[in-house]
Amino acid sequence: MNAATRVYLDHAATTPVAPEVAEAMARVLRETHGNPSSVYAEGRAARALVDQAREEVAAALGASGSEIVFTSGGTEADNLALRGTFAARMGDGDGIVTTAVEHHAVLDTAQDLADRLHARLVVLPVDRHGRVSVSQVTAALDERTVLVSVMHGNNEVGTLQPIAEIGAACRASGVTFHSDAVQTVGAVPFDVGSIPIDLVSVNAHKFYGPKGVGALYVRRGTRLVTLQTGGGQERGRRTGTENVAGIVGLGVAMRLAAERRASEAARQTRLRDRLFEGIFERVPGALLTGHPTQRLPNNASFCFPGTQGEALVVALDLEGFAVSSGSACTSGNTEPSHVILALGIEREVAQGSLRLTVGRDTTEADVDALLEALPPIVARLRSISAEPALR
Amino acid sequence: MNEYTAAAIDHFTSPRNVGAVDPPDGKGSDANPSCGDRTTITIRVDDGRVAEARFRTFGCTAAIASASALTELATGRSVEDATALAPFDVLHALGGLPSRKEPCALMAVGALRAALLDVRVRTGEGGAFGPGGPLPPQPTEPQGQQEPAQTKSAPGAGMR
Repeated sequence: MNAATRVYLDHAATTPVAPEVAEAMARVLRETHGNPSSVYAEGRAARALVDQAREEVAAALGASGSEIVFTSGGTEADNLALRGTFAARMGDGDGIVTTAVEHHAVLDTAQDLADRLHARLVVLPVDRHGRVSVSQVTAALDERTVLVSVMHGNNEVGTLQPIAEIGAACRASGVTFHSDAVQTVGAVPFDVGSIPIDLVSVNAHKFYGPKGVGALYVRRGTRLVTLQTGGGQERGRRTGTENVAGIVGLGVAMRLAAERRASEAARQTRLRDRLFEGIFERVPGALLTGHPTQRLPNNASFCFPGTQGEALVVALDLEGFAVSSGSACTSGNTEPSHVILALGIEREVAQGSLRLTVGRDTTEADVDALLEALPPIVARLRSISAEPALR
Repeated sequence: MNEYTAAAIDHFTSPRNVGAVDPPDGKGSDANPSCGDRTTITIRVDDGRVAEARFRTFGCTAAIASASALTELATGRSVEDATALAPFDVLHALGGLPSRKEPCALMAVGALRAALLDVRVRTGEGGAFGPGGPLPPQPTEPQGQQEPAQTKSAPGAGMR
């Protein structure tokens, strides 16, 4: 199968840059070379572009421009949120609460704070759908807790967390609340006016913007210490000359996502549900991972017992499909994903995980092509493994 | 198109000798405990030669391709020659594997060696520990109590 007929079903990994975004970025690179910190015309032109993007991002979140800090992406936003809060609130306490299904950018950062700075870390388990409950969070809070970090939408299994309720509980206890909303901003409504939340991580390339740029929403009055020191850009919270073209791309991508969100969410939900129905009908023993309804509109994720994720991905790649598995196959190991294991799924079943994420460019025909290609691949891999449960 | 050679992809998409010899003259398994992948190889032996070798693998592309290639390499060889097959031979047949996937070739070899050892034990020709009869009680630490030749082949000679 050649490149022209490939079907991309991995929009949770990254999305193609929207043509309007690419065009806006190219224009910046060609025409605006000034440093936003310079006072003369060229600098002011660059500053105006950064400010405009800041307003676009703020508008989409229901925030004000001064609450947006541009970063190099989601990982940096998460690091700034966790490390910056922990440092800023050192006198208040040392407790951090998070969940077992967070992205490594949160989980490993929290663990690092525990290992090196003696944070007292609580990692909450999730239910079989990947949800954490408000009462679990409330029970974990005490006078030492300074920060709670719970993601909005899970990158692997798509489960949405009740962040508004969790945020309210945190606010009542004077605890800073952060959410990694990298998978949801641009995909589902996110309004900081109605969600009691202090810090939100955003990543441009998850909603048709460029890689290497993101943002952290910082509610006015939230104490945060910068991770790096230098020229004092971004109100001293993320110093360094701004990535002007990237920031412009983020702004345009955010505006487009907000404009298209309602219609795209409905359309992608239909495609996702078509995947669910088709796979349950055609693949015996398929197991849904994540919450059946409280999930991202574009995420269909499964485990296929008797198969191994890397083999599924390679077999589908050979037939022209780009998809992901939760098992990260490194150094000869195929460690099942921490997210799938946190759902309480048996290790061996967790190895056969597959994530399909549709996007703006996905058509019904793409979904139907996948539904044709996948069942024989699962059957073939099962005939090779002949796992006892499936004989 | 991907990180695998055409030969490896061919063994993955059209694996040779999938299944089990029933009843087998020898059966062996090996696993990679770090990832949970595992391979079982069953063989039929005629006149001291491997007449048929079949495999089952739960695992990744490399694990499947390795087992498939190894069953081809083993078929027709004397039990002695087949025992000498090493991960290098599998990698050679596949035109190489990504370096982090090389343990998958080792797993296939481990399963085959275990199957060949099983043949010797079943036929009373002596197992790995000398002629005549079944295996002595297994030492908990394999090093030091085996003959040197066997110690050398210990990596991959999975008896798990």
